[in-house]
Amino acid sequence: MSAPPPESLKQRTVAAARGAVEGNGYVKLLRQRWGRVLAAVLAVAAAATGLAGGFERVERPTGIAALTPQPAGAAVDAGLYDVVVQSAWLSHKPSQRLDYVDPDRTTLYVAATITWRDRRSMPPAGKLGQDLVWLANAAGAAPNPQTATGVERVGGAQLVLQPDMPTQAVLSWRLSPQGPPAPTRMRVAVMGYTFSPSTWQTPEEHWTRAKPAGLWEFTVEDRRPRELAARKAGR
Amino acid sequence: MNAAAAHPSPRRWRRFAFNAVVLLLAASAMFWLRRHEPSYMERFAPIVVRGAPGEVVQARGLRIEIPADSALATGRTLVTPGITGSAPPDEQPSSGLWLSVPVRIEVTLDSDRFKAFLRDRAGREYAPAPKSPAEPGRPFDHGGEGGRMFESNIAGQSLAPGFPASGRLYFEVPADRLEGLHARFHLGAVMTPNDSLVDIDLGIDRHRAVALREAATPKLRTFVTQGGVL
Repeated sequence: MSAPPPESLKQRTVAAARGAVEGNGYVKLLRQRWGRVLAAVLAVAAAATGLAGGFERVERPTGIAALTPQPAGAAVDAGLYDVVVQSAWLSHKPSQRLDYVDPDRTTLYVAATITWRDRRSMPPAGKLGQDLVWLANAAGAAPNPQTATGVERVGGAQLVLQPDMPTQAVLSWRLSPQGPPAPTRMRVAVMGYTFSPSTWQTPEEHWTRAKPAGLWEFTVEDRRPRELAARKAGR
Repeated sequence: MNAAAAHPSPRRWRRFAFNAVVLLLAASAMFWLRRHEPSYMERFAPIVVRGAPGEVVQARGLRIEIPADSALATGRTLVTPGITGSAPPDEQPSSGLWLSVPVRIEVTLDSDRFKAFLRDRAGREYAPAPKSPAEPGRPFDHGGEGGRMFESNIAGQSLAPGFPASGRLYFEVPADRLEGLHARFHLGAVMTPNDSLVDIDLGIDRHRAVALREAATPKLRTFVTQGGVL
């Protein structure tokens, strides 16, 4: 194979790339000793942030463990909301609106009364609540918060909160069959929220989860045997 | 350097003073204008078009009437169609009251959805119950009642010019805030600045509020069933 002719495209490309690397500010920085030290410090800081859960905190709330658990029925001031968690039960029903029972499926339902206190605007329909109430794992276990998989109004239908009106909601979590057995005592945490007013002035609504505002610990009723018995009796 | 250059003449002083005064006046004028310019609210506020029950209220792209002959109705629990034709209807008990408001609405320019809400005297706003996804005429067979089901709730319904919609809106309001309620409507999911906002005083005075509270039915249904085949 013959050598490429002088000033060939390949030579020009290689020369241009070499020139770009030579002139690059970051490369120049790494040629300095203090530049290499700075880069190493930044890399270590980024890795430490990740390992310490800095990335995790964006997704999951922290500070639940510091809260004192309260019994079911206790009210908590969650900023824009007053929240009362009343009860929880395990069910084979995929939806409280259906009579259908699926023995292979377990859903944890938590009933709560939520009173919206923002006086300036209408609440966004259907968006609220997916991450308002979090499962904080079984009593005594390390918190492993999970956002709800469903939010409904008690009795079915979409949850729409009206100002100053206590509204009963049901939040649900589908429990994995591969996960640990469903606990008999459960902890539930409620997030505090801040909210930029939504008026015609600012059509975009900005919900900002602040920090955990309340923690409840209560017994979970197991309705599954009763549902299965009723299903058999119905056959 | 001569003496004239070292000591500015009175004429130059006068020019300097004149320029300084003009500059100060201009700055003052700018400051005054900045202080007195219309606020964001004043520049982009919606144009409120007021009306009363029985009047046809004409706004930009929207024509609305709350018929005077159709009465407001109240209930303590809202009953909406179930998830299927044979599922039990959903019952939504309220800590206040459900207020049913009759509405006749038409878009006059483009096809669009509309948004409605109630506003009380304290400025609190109440969203209507969302329309159930049940399609008109869905077979209904539950609790000994059969036929085809028709939903009266028109919240968020898509409208087309030339096809006025008639129905009702169902609002959940505190029982002690019925007095002085206004129904408000606008086109689109979000209020557009400078667009029309229809405001209709429902005409609920103290006596009527008491009457509505006393007349509240235990269950307020959003749908009717009609027998027979369509």
